[in-house]
Amino acid sequence: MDTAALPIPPSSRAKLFAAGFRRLADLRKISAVELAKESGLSQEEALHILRVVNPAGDNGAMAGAKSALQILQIEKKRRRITTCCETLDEILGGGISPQEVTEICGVPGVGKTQLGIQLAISVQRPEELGGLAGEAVYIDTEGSFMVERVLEMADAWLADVRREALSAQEPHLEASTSGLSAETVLSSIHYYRAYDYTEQLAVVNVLPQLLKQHPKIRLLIIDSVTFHFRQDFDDMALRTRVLNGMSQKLMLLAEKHDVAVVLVNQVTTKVVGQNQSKLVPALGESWSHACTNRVILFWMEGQRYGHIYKSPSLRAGTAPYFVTTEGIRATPATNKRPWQEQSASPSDLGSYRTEELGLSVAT
Amino acid sequence: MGALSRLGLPCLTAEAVAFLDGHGIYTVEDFLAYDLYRLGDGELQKQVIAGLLQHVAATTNCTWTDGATLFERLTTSTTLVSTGCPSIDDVIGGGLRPGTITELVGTSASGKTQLCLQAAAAAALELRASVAFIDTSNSFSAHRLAQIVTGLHGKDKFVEHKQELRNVARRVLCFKAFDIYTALRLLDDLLVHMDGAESKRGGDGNQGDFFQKLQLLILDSASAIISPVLGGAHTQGHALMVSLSGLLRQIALKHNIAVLVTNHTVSGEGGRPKPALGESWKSVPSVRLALAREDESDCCTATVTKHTIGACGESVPYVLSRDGLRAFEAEEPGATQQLEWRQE
Repeated sequence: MDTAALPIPPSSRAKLFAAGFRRLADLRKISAVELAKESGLSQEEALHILRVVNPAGDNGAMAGAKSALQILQIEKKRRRITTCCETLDEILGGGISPQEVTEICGVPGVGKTQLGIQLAISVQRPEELGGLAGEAVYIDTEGSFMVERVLEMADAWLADVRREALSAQEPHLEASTSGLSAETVLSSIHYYRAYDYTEQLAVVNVLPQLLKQHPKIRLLIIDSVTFHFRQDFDDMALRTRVLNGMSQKLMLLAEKHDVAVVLVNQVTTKVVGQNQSKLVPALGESWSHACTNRVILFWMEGQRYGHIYKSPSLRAGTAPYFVTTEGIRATPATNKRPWQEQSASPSDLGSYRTEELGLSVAT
Repeated sequence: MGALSRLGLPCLTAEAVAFLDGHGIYTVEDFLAYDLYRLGDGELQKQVIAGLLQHVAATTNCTWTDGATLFERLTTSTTLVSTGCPSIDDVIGGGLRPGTITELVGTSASGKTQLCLQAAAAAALELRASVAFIDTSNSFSAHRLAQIVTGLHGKDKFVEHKQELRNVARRVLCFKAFDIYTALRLLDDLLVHMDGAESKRGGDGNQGDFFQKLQLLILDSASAIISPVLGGAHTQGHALMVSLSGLLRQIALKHNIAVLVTNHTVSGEGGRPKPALGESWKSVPSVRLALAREDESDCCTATVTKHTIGACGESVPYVLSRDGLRAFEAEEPGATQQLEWRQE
């Protein structure tokens, strides 16, 4: 490998080059003092370079490697975050998986934010009930996170979890839910509001620290990843670069801290042929490679469906789901409470909600 | 090759080094670029020049061979690495060829990662080779790999040989690299390990064994780590890309390993997808296979768009099934049998 490819300042690179240190092998088994003397770099610079070449406590490439057998065993043990909707869970292989980046896209009003909030709650499912007992980070770029709605869904979720624990008739299961309350659910969601793309990128950059401080975090949601990137960008090549860089950072986070990353994406109209267009996920062709899994939410004949568009491990599949007062569910609402219009986000529940919902909503 | 004083050659006495310093020669490169007649022809000078030239000849060590030997090597000791899908093997000339880089380029969900997993499964199962899988986008799934191995192996045999799956899975080693610097370091370390395994045959335990049997290196995807640094006002990104391609080539050639990389697509003119790593990367792979998926259809096509020794433009349809990539032949009786099998 060339020393030209090392992540070091250009001035240091030029000095290394001039002194004849062209290959990485030239920098092995040399002390910082010697390197400084021979290359004209300061000792600090030389030390920095040597740290880059051979980080302390690093065992080389083999340290991070795992065989497929080891990964298979890890994958088998891995618990997933349920969507609270059995039909969606089925096509997702049990829910959203930690260590993976999953993108959710769909038209306004189809329930992307609702699904995001649902996941932020259900990641807290107690371990005794097969959950992750984790916390969530919610990065809101659109201002669509409505805390009243979260509370409503949290209450419904708590009731469900308690009912499930009770029906098992095992004391330790009941005990596992006793510590849960609407307050603990809400306080386990770490919320960021990012007002422009610089703030959004800044949050992504400080996430490693946050995840270190809060090791229980198992889910990271960006709702939506798209919003700020669809405006204020003249240089599309720059946008692609910035987005790709961000997605690689998120992948590293997912892998290193064992969190599930969920990215909400909007859809856009793409012109195909003459006078014809179709809806496609926003941010273009290059972004479509940035996520490990892509789930498309769509309407068909008044019914919501989720579709697995791509995944390295899951087969393509489609399943219906409902957005009810309780949250995301596999069956229509049973109307425990009247739907409160203001409790849901304006961007996600368009005016056609009531007509197209296909549910009996008591008002 | 670094500074002369660090080479530790017997001809480079303190006196000789001081003499060369006087001429502004500090490195081997300075020495080679210098007009040697200007050094004079004393005893010391002769010794230094002879000693250094010998050293350069010994370390660069380029030897020649002839066509007949090369051909014999090709026919007797070259094993093509199958992708696990016979129809795709056919269009690329029998399989992935050791010593060369093959590239898969395609839109999202066209089956790039699936074909990578399948090639890994096939190499580990059929050739009993080790496979190094460098995952840059969290898409390596051991569960899926196991499914594909089962599909390749055949169900009946497989029940008896569950141990076989464990052995296959042990032979595939997955490395994670989410940025280009990590990937470069990783490839460099792999190269060092491969050199090591070569020099001490018999190897040291599992690691040595792994590197001796290494026949396939997969980088999925190359574009994911290159595209964040490429472009803009700086040329450093381009230098990084060249370094990456250089290392991949070195690994392929020096250790006779088949290298498989993936490249994603971006929208080009008129919204038509084009490879993310474009013209300057095009010289890197020897074979480029374009994967494309028709809208709203399960049938995909693989087209050879570059081949250094074979024909270009040939294409083959395939489907993504539970058992991996399969040739698209719905009418054949074999295919229906397979379908029934899957429903069990």
